Amino acid sequence: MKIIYQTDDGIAIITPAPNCSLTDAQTAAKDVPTGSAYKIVADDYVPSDRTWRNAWTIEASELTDGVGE
Amino acid sequence: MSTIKANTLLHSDGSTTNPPAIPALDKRMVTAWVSWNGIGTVSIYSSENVSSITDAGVGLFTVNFATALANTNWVAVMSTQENNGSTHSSSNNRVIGPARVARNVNNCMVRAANPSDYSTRDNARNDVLIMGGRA
Repeated sequence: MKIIYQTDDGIAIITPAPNCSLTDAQTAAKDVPTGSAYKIVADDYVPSDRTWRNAWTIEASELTDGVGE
Repeated sequence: MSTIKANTLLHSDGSTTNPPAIPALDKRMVTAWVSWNGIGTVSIYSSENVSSITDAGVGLFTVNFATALANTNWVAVMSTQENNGSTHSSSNNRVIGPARVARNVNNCMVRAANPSDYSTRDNARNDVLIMGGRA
């Protein structure tokens, strides 16, 4: 599971720690910057080829799963 | 002087995951640590007191603490390994260090770079260990 949000430079992708007791929603609320909208996706939603990582983007309209607290 | 000899030290609740408090030694113990793969699909190998890592771009990551630290007087120790295999794409080792930002009690931003030109690079293994930051 990944959590995606927009930054000034592109997108940031959060990978939760497997042994952390927080739920995905709790991790998203805590680790996404306050006020930033995010989307929770499956691992394979994110490309494994990072050649153009710094050019990745996401439509703001897709970030509908919550907002960082 | 007395000596305690024991094979197992557990929290009073009997849990093997809930650590017992040892106030006099806590400040000497690791506050948080994490080891992650930064190439291909980013994944965490193992961690303690880390809720997640944030991939902000090539070689740019943030380690997010599960429990916020008590203060900003913490120390970060880091290392990297370029590839898991026996070969690698260049003769340059990688360096990793705290990003040039104000430190806080919630996370530690790090930047992995190629020392030949200091450009950011992804690595197969990135290890960060935090000491201090306790009350």
